[in-house]
Amino acid sequence: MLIQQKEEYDAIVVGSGISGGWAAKELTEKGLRTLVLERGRNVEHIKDYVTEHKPDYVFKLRQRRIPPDSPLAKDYQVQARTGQFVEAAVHFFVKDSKHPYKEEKPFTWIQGDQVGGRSLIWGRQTYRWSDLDFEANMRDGHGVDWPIRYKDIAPWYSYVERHAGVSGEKLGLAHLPDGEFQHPMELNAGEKWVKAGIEREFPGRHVTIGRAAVLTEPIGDRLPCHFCGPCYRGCRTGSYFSSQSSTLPAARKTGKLTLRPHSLTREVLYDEKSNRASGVRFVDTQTGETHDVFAKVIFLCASTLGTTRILLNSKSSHFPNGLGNSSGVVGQYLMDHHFIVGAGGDVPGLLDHYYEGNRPNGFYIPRFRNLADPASDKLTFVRGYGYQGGAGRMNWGRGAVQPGIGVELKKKLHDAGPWTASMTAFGECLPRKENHAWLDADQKDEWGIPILRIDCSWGPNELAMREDMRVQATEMLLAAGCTNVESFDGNKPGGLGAEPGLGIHEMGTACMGRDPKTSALNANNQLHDVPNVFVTDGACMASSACQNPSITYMALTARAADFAVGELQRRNL
Amino acid sequence: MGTDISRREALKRAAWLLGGTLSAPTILGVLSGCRADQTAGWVPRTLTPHQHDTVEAIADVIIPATETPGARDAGVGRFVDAMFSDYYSAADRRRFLSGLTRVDAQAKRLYGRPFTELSPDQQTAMVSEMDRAAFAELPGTVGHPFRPELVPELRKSDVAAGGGVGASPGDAAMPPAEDIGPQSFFRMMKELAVVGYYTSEIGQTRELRLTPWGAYHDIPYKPGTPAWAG
Repeated sequence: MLIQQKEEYDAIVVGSGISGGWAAKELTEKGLRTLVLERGRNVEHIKDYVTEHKPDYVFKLRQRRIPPDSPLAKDYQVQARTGQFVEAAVHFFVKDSKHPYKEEKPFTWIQGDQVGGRSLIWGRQTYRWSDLDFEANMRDGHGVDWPIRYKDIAPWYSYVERHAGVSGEKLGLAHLPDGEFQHPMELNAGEKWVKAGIEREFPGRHVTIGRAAVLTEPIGDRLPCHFCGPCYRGCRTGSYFSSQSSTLPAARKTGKLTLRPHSLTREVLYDEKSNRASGVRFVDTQTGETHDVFAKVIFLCASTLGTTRILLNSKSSHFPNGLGNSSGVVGQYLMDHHFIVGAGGDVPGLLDHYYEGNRPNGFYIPRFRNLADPASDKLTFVRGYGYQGGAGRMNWGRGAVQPGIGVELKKKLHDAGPWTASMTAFGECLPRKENHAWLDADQKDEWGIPILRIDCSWGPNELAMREDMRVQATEMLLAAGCTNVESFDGNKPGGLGAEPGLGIHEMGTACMGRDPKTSALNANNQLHDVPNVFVTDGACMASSACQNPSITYMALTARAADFAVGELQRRNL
Repeated sequence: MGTDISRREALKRAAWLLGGTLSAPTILGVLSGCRADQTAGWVPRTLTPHQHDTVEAIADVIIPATETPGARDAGVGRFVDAMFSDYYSAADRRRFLSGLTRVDAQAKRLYGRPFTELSPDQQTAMVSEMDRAAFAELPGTVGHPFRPELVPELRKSDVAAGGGVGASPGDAAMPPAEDIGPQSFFRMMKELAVVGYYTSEIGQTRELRLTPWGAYHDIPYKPGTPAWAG
């Protein structure tokens, strides 16, 4: 049964995660009556953080990571591939049995399925892009040229950072621009030792505290972090950025927000006469009823692949291959960051140092490759990578993996163990057409929407880059003075270990560009073909850089919302 | 204190159960009032009562009571039952339970009684040997302490016979392949004992400590100071 909603909104936002929350905030604050359609259940700030602050011993399984072959992972066969899938966080992941897809080659699609999306469980690392990143496609010819540059987005980075709250250390690096930072968290003694060694032996390389969307100073009624540890359970003090803590409350304050969970968007409705989207068709997953709802402006923020699936499924005689897909590129240029490659080792000494508190952060080593520096001349890959890592003292877990029992074992594990350090690189992935997603011709989900098929694999540039990531991490730890240093590379070609998707930074498939024949979106995140439809989540990205992308999604969303409202006021939409 | 394992080796040996707990903190916090399996009249769901008692006895040798309670007091038996009821795959459960059966078979062979009825010294001797074998190299690898030429073939032990391969009486004392090295029953047992103890309330609040919240900063450390539970 099709229900045509009588109430018309000024704007519809599909998705309530990192990007959708920002679209909701910006559009409502600028006066638009905005409907946010979220496919998943409601999660209320504080009330629904059911595992927050609980110690291990109150959990049935003592808060273990759930492996794929556990009976608990029956409905979560893809989600269980990530180390984030732990007992205390299961309820913030999608049930793969409910939302299936097909992977032609291994592609791990980690998804939320609730209000807030993955903003509840994200890693909170935030790094600005620079023109080194925005110009990369133009310079080396991979992908299509970004239609914007750093100067277009810089004021919006500042804008979102001031509201979201980002702590970090200013470094003055052109290729990793400083943000509007609150004061940085501290490195511990082991990390300071590693930092001193690396910076001494590799002048020009930097080891800094992670730049994180976790408060060290209050913003409104959001409090600074109290270092309890696992942000991903939800945070009652609102200390890390999520839709729940930050953007949705701002939207609600305007009185113009309508948030509708259990609302799965099937397609955008298109009116050929006006060449505009008229609204959105969605399924109420609780009643099974289909609804049409209408608005002047549509923001698609359903996450990279979620948004592209909606576009591809929005077929009409004018757009037989999906809304806004006159170019044919919708679904192409899928990217992710590749990681799980680096090194670790033992840190000698420092036994009279320890730390207090559980810090939701580590150290970061900004990119030092392919900066037009002489040392990069002989590299066999283009673009670059950064490292995320940390040091700490081994805890009681080490007792399970070495010989020793009884009183001796207990005495040993009573004390803090030796220091260790490790780092993994996050690497840029080139935009390649062959990495793509499309709708399955036959299989549909339980609401009759065709499921996605995904074909994505690392290319020669990624693999060549991984070798350097591994070697450099090893050399840096050795040079700093670590012992028993060993490198690792989890990638198993054709298998699981460091496969595309696992980085949980999937981007592309509806990319921005200058030419409607080779891109889906223009410089304002509008579909070239349909100017009142905006895409501001990861789907819009024309390249991947190596920096964690969420802050860039936030900035692009705020910028596009500002433009959209202006266009409405100028009566262009 | 003795030398500790290197990070490199620790990671090589850590199975899923330990994921994230080798050096990253686990969760600390105040009591929420909701406890698992502390009710009287608790019965195991997967282990038989005898299996539960054997698991507790082994765990209590691995982590005994000292000035602070040990594994038995910390309810490791209940934890292990929960893990095999809800967490582990059927294949892992079978592997563990057959290993447990071999423990009793070995106890009967050596001392004429099941493990739970042995004296503390006898239990400690058996657990020490299991620990040694569990961290020995697999047969056929360089440096393996069990000379493969003594064993005509290394085959899966007959569960009913309780293990032992080969023809000679001396071979009866040699652990079967399933009890040697990283995939051994005892590796799993030890992981369960250590995780079960150090994620218990006793382990986290009486033997170790919960880190205070509020700030994150360096503090000085003296040996003998309890480590953070996470």
